[in-house]
Amino acid sequence: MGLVQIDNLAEGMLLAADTHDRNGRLLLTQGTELTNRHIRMFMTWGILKVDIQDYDEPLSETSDSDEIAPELLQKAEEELKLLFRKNDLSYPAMAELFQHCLIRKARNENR
Amino acid sequence: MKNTQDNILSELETLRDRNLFLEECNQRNINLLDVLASSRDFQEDLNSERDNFSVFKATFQQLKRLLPLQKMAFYLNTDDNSFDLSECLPTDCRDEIEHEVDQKISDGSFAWAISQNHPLFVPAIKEDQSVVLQVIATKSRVIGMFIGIMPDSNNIIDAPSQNALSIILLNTAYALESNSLNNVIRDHVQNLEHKVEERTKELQNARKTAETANRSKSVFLANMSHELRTPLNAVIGFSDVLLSQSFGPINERQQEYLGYVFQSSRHLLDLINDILDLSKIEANKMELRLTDANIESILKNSLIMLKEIAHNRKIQITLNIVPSLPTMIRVDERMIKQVMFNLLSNAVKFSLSSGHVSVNAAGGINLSSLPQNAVCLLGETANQVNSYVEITITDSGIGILPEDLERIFKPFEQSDNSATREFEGTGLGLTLCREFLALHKGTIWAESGGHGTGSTFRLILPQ
Amino acid sequence: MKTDRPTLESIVNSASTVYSLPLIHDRLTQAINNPRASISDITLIISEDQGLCFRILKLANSPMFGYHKNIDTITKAATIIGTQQLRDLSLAISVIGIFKDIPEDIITMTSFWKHSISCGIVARILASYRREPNVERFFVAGILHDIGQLILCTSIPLILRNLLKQSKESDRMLYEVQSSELGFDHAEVGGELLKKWKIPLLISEPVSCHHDPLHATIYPQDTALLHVSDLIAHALQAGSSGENCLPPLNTEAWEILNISESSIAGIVQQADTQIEQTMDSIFGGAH
Repeated sequence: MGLVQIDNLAEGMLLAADTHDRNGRLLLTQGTELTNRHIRMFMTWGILKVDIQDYDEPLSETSDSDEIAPELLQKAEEELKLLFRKNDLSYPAMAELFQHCLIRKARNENR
Repeated sequence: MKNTQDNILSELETLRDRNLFLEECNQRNINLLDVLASSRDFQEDLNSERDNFSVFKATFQQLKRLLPLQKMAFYLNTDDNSFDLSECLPTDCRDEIEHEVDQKISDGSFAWAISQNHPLFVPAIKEDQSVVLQVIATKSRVIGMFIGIMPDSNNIIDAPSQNALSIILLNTAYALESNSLNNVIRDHVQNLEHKVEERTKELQNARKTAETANRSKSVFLANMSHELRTPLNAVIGFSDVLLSQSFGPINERQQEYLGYVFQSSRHLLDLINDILDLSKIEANKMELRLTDANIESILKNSLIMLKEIAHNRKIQITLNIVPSLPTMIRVDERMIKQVMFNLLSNAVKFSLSSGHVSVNAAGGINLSSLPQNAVCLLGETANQVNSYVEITITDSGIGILPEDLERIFKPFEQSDNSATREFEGTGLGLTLCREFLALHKGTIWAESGGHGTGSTFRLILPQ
Repeated sequence: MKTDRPTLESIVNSASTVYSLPLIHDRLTQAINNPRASISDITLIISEDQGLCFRILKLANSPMFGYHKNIDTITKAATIIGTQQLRDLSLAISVIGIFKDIPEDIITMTSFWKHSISCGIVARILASYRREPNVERFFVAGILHDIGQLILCTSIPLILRNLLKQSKESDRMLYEVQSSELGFDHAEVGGELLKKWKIPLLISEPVSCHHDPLHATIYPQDTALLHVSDLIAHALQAGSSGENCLPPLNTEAWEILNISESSIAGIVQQADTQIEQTMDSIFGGAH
């Protein structure tokens, strides 16, 4: 069924994916059957569209992240290492930032 | 001329307006300070209240000082991320509040208020009223939503008052959070107390069971002791009498076999006695019967009993009494006699033919001259004794390997189980020696250079 | 040719004669603090500057706010976004408008503003993660954090070019070279100018200390936040303000913020969705 506008939601529909608010807080898990209380809850948190399961279709697999060519990844990593050279990459916050920027950069090159 | 007058007049107007404005600002600031000053009471109320209702009441009171609120309510965030109306003031406006909130959820203002962290002022359903929504949240959690209804006016709430509202509701958030945490802790504590109570009962029951079992064991032992010894004594007695040929001659074969019967049953009796002794010690039922005893005579008497065997094996025995040995010491004579006899017969047994056994007895031995392993064996009792009597028995026998020096004191261990089976013994002899000596606050240990170099047994007793 | 070394005071003093803050900030502050404040007062003040109105409405309708309905009037913006917030947004937009005619041979202006705005956006997002009541204040601080660089560009261009060269050759951070050669860095210059403009310490102290966050005595948390935002903006490689690599993270500053590392992915993602449109809202369309 795909994304359904909040005004068109009805009781009995099944969530096709975990639903989060803008800041990433988990509101309802995949597969839950919607009640009126759930629908009102979505409105409370400002959710405008919800991913609903088709009755005939099986649950959609979570899509794998685009495959990134290893050469691109390596090139991106080299450039980023230069950029981050004055930072300690073993510090958890920096490691996390580096990791995320690496994937982001490689994905951007991918296009 | 007129121009200058007009200028001055208009400047005066401006100044007067400015003055009015400043006076109003000042008054408003004073009001805000009053609100802040009363925040101490507010804080104390919040801190002392353990239930949410009281927190709400205190907050309502504080907020009324700040804004012309006519109706107020708190919604709380539930486990399933919904918001439910918890408390409202006045208590009879529940329906009106719910109606208002429903509409604000539908038009998206409620969701918007959650994402902003400052008060949101929107028109109410009724034309002459407006609504204020402010999320109640700490840095880690969205706890709920505050909604207030006030008369609509052209004025908007000024920035300092808005900030004061945010601060008050932040305090409320922390109070609610603290309440919920306190509840969790209280539940855990109650649960813990309950568990501790249960466990204590369990342990008490277990102890009762163990005590009962122990008592049964002692009773059992006491009974068995008699039951076991009686028939054995009969076997020993009758075979002895038959061997003595008091009731007629017996042939060689009969003598041999009766001899085995006699030996075996004696061995069995010794074994039973040792086991029963050990069990008693284990059950802390062994009582010391202390009397003044002469160590020198005990040693000499034991040696007399071994004279024949020693002579048969051509083993020389020497006894050295050092002058420091006190004439009398307080001991349980039966036990010490058993210990001495056990050690001496071991020494004779394990010495090679034409070997030598030497016995040394001395007194006045201090803790400081004892080796480390002896001090360990003494444990706490070492603090309770001033000086010891030391008796050493040295044989020229097969010796003891270093790894066996402690092992031989364990029940049913003999140094090198295979080779020395020929030497009789219950296997409990040395174990009992140590236990008996421990009851006296002494101990015993072995020293040896290894195989073939003989061994020395040292025992110490409090003087 | 070599004159006395320029002092911080002299630079800021001369800058404040050239660049002055438009009155609008002061008037808006008075309006919102007024106990008899009304929305129309605020709308009136902002409407005097059509360009400002235009940009505020564009921002209000951009992903930065993500409001589900169209905001088509300043009055609506004031209600939905908040009056203090509107005041701070106006400050950000008007300051950007002040700096024209900066020579582009040392710093490229588009690149400079892109970095500044990215910093503002990241700071805003971080602030909302920490549930700050007024996140626009952090947006402003982010946008303004490197204006000291612009001031140095206009007041001591030759020296600055030299310092840039030194920083490249010795592979040191530009702000470090500034500190060691001048005795102060661009952050302090920016902070002092904001102070001269009577912008609250709430914004000027973090700007002053964003490269040395532990130096902040009055608003250490806000300063730590700005420091981290600058770093993340560099990591996003959105524009540049003279540095060619990430400044080292002050780990104590990170700890002060008390945010979990796992939020970083979300912060970067959100920033990415907002930067382009925010740039467009502020610079695009009518000038």
